[in-house]
Amino acid sequence: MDYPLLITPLTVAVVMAAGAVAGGLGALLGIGGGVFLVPFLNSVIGLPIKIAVATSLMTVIATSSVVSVSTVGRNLINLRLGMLLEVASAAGGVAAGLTFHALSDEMLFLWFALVTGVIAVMVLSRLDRRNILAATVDPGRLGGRYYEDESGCEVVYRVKRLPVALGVSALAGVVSGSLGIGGGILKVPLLNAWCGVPLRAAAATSALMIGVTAAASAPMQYANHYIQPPLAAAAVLGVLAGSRCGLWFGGRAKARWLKLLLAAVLAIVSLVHFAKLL
Amino acid sequence: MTPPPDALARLEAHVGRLFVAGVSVSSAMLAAGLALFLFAPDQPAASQLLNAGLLVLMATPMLRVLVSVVEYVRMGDWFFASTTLAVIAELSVTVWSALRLRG
Repeated sequence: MDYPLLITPLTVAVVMAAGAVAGGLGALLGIGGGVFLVPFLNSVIGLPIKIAVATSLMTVIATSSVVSVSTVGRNLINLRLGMLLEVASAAGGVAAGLTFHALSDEMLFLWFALVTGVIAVMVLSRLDRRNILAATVDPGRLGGRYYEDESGCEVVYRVKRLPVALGVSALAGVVSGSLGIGGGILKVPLLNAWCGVPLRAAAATSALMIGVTAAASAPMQYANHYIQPPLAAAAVLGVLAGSRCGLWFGGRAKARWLKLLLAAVLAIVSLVHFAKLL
Repeated sequence: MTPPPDALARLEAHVGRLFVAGVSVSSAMLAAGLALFLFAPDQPAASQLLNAGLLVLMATPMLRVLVSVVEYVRMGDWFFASTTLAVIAELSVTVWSALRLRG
């Protein structure tokens, strides 16, 4: 078997452990594990950035499936909104998949730093916003309602500013295919902050969407040999194990703490990538 | 128009079962392939299992979209059936391009 990289049992074990940690944090925050996994595979293990991105993209698909199974039956996934936004996010994913080969590493680092930095600031500025209407309000065609364990109430919401949500979903698709970070990292804060979707519903809907979004570019990364099967397998298996732990903990954590943790993680990731460019 | 809650719940249940099946099959293949890669690297089955597992993983969300089209058509919800078809068209572009590159 011939792989362009030397893949030892130690590399496999480290990638699997990194996948588990990334999957746990990703499931907890509803953003996929890629935002942690890509910097780790690139900076710590020393994989070329494009291989790190493609490996991570496979874990995004796995995370999406596992997280979606866990939220089925709780009305948290907004299937109609998700499907509509997928038209935009898959288009972004396809565009990124087709152009990934031509992007430079420096371009990818700058892009990563900018995206994560902007979102960290956005999440922090809206920590206490709830986006919940009275239970009697009609949620409209795209809105939704679900029962929230934390408050013991039925949560009803309407979707606002749909064109903004579509635009950001397209951008999230590009981010997903070019950075391997799911794209939920963009959609969750934005659906929450600008479009009126509560954080838990935004996270569950986004988790469903990121699988299709990643699948819109992953076949191209695979065809271009950026996906190394043993490394991708190790990362996926690690992420699957980690996601289950993250979900268990996430069901018990308060929304405010989830937002603070999300902002802190994004800020660190952003600074690390700006530092790489210096 | 708001769809009947039982129809959406049925779609959600189908989607859930599909994800469980896709993740179980792909992770079993990846685990077996990885074990062979580590302990019997000369076996061609290692590479075959790893690649098959990755392909099943990529196909799972695509199948979810196909299942959704069927359900939206059954609900008579043509707006969402057509948005779902648009996603399938986009995914087809990627799969076709990848097949051309590999083939």
